[in-house]
Amino acid sequence: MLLALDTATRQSGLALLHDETLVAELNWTSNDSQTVELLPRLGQILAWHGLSPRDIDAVAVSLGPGSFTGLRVALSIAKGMAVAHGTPLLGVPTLDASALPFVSAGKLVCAVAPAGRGRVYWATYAATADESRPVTVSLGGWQGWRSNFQLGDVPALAAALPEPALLVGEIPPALHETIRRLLAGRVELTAPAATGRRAASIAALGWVRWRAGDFDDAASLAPIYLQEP
Amino acid sequence: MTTLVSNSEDMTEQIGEALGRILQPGDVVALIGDLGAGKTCMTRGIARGLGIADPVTSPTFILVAEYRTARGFPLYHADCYRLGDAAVAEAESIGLDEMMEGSGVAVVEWAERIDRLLPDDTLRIELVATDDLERSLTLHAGGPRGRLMMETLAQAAAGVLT
Repeated sequence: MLLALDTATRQSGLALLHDETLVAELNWTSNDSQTVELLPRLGQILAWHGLSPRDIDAVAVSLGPGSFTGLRVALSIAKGMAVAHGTPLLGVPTLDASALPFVSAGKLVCAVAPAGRGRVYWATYAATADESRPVTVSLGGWQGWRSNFQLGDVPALAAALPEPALLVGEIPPALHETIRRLLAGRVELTAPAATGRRAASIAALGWVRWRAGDFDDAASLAPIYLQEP
Repeated sequence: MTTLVSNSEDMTEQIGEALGRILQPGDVVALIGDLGAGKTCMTRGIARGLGIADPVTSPTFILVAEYRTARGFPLYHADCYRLGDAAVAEAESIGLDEMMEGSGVAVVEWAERIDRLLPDDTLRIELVATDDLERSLTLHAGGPRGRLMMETLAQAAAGVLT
């Protein structure tokens, strides 16, 4: 059984994956208190399925970029489980999880997460290389190229998206209007609640690395913190 | 911009209490002034106005203290005095920017050190010691909510000052 934990932003999640079956998943918007919410909810989804923490064989965790305080909540719990039970630990970049369900559609994908003060984190994904996408990534069965993780306001995002893209992930409602105005014709905000990040995607990406024996070290695994230069 | 004059610690605290009564979740109050200007005294009043019974002390060493208000949301009392040269980065790394965008009220002492992180809608209060006991409190409002806080406080404080 693989457990996925995501508190990278207020959009929080938990998922349990057995073989490649999604046993349970919980996604919710936190009210500033992920430290208080995460463990009781984990206890609940385990209890619903008659499971105990001992049944968890691997832990995947959302690594960011995201909220500085949020990232530490899931990562400290994931590391605690990894150290206490000797469980393999798998760090998953948060935006990779947002992009995962959409990359195989063949379009340019831009995954977004809120960064506060009108800013967002983002990364673009495409099947073809480009000077703006220097990183090779493998998401599930899909091979492609990713930009570096970026932090900026909506005008900066607009400048980074010269061509039409599928905008996915967690798009702050306060920015919808600016995005529609500055990115008109290039992106559409289609049902943001249905294109948001899910804990199942963190679990799916962690699963692939677990099967490949590609684990992270609990002592050195660090969140992806982005700050403005 | 509005300037109020307080002639005692007690009056500064009462002005704070008047402010505390009108604050809403999401509000940010930046307190700017030297040691002894009355920032913590003002915060004590704000806490009382928010219905907090716990004693409020300066969070100089712990950086942020959190209190539960009578209305259910938290009051974050932050002090940026101990933040170093990279104050903005340090404040971000302890999540102070997120507290100022959260569901509580944030009161920030030495806020000028992290000015770039303050939201548009911030009420800035500059406290200056004009003699032993007298303090001038200059209010600067950013954004519509900041202006509303400033106007409401100026009206409420008129009752305290007479």
